[in-house]
Amino acid sequence: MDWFLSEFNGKTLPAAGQDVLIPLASYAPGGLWPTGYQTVPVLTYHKLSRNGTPDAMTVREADFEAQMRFLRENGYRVIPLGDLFEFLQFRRQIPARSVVITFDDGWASVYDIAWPILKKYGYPATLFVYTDLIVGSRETLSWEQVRELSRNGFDIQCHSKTHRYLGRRERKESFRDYFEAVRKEIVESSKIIRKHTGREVNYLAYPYGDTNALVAAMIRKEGYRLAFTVERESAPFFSSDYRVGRSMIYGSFTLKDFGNNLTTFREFGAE
Amino acid sequence: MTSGRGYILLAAALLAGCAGSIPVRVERPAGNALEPTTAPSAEKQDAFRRIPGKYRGLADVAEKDGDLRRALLYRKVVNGFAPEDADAREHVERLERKIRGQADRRYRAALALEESGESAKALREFLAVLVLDPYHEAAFRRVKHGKNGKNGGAGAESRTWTVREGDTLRKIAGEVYRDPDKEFLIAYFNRLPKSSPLSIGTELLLPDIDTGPSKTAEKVPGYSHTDKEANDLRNAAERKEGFERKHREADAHYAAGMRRFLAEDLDGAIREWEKALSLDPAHPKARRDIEKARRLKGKIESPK
Repeated sequence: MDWFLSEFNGKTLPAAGQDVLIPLASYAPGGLWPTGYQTVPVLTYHKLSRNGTPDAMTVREADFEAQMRFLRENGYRVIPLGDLFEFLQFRRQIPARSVVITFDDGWASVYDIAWPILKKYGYPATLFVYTDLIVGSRETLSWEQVRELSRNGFDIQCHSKTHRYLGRRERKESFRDYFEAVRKEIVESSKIIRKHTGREVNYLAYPYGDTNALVAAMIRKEGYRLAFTVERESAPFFSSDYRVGRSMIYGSFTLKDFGNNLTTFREFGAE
Repeated sequence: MTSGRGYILLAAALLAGCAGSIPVRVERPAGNALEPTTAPSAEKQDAFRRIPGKYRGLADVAEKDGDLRRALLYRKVVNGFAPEDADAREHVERLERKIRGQADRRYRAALALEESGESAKALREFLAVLVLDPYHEAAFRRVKHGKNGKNGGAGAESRTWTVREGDTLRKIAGEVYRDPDKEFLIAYFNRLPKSSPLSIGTELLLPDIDTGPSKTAEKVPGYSHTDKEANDLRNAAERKEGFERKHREADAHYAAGMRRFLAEDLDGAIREWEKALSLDPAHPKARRDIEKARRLKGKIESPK
């Protein structure tokens, strides 16, 4: 909680003889200040690779490491998704330069490449899995690996069962069939994750970021606390809980591109 | 936090309460807990005399800058040092009144802006209310959930319906969703058995069910969703093939182990079955027979 005192007192470390005010509760819940408000970048990765960049969704190991180092060297704090939830409810203050790291799908490279780097920096992360993918092939995670990640700083959350577009009704699908299919995607996957990890599933990332009003209402009804799109924007506390934006990090990004996705404060009048 | 020499600790308690009210507790450390307590030095006594003056100045600056909550906090620190000082108390009460007044005025302004459809300006005003008073529940609800809960927060794009005489799920679905067959949705969202009669006065939650195109997805340059689906299919096929290959190899090692076992080569049999289990950890026969072979080997090798 060093950030809590230093941000309030505007100093890094108190020197002998200095007085320090110690707030005993959040003094700026939701990161709201007289000059503007905090926004939290939620970064989204998919696959990583040791060499080369096979497609836009694959970030090279060296680039990922550079991005994590960039966060550390520029004073960002990586927070778990649970802290973001509290922030979005205006209950909790989080460090001014907070960032959330997420991975989608369940590719083996999260275990092989991302995890060791995250461990090195002590960063928590969330893995949104679509459960049909978790079969332990050369490219995909096994449930054993998912459990290991879950025991070691990864929050395992839901990305549907089959990765279908939740917000789109197929051409030959009746409304009733569409409703039942969406329900299956969000209920069964959650049960499967709970069965394998023994932990609660509270958050969902829409496959392709795709949703609509009905799906958002169903997500809420089924007990999810937050759901994430891939609208490229950092989240203020007053974001809609069922349409929280995330920024996808592409394999083609330079560090400057990466930095452009790290907006953590918006001044009033500059919205 | 430890108290070093000459280090003064002020504890300001920011607690939930009424508008702008920020109770403060001022603690004057008697000394370092790890050292014997002695009378405060002249240097420490000077520091205590200096602090109220310093925070009076800080409060003036914060108030001039419009940061009224912080100004109030500083005034409370001053008051904490001199609880009997009427002037210090008056400043606290004056600031509390000022905060309440500004919060009320801006809240009314926000409602008027919202009413006239200027939602961006209204949001700015509601946020200003929360800056002054983070515990202003009405302003928070407006900021988070919108006028009618339409922001998708707790209200998640829904409206309510109070059941009237003669209402049925079919009738309501026909009226609200223009399709009586969508009665199942009302039952689902309200946890109602489909055929049970509705009680008059019951409030039903009717979510917006617009299934129009999403604006929340991002088109990835050089990567189409169709490609991803194809990749997933390819990956699934590869997974299936990988599994089948592993099972075939595990079976072959199991059979080789059995041949070794029948030839009374226990070490060879165990090696083969270990290979089978590394390929398929759930191979039931390999698991069963390797245990038997290990026990047998132990008996043969143990001294009589």
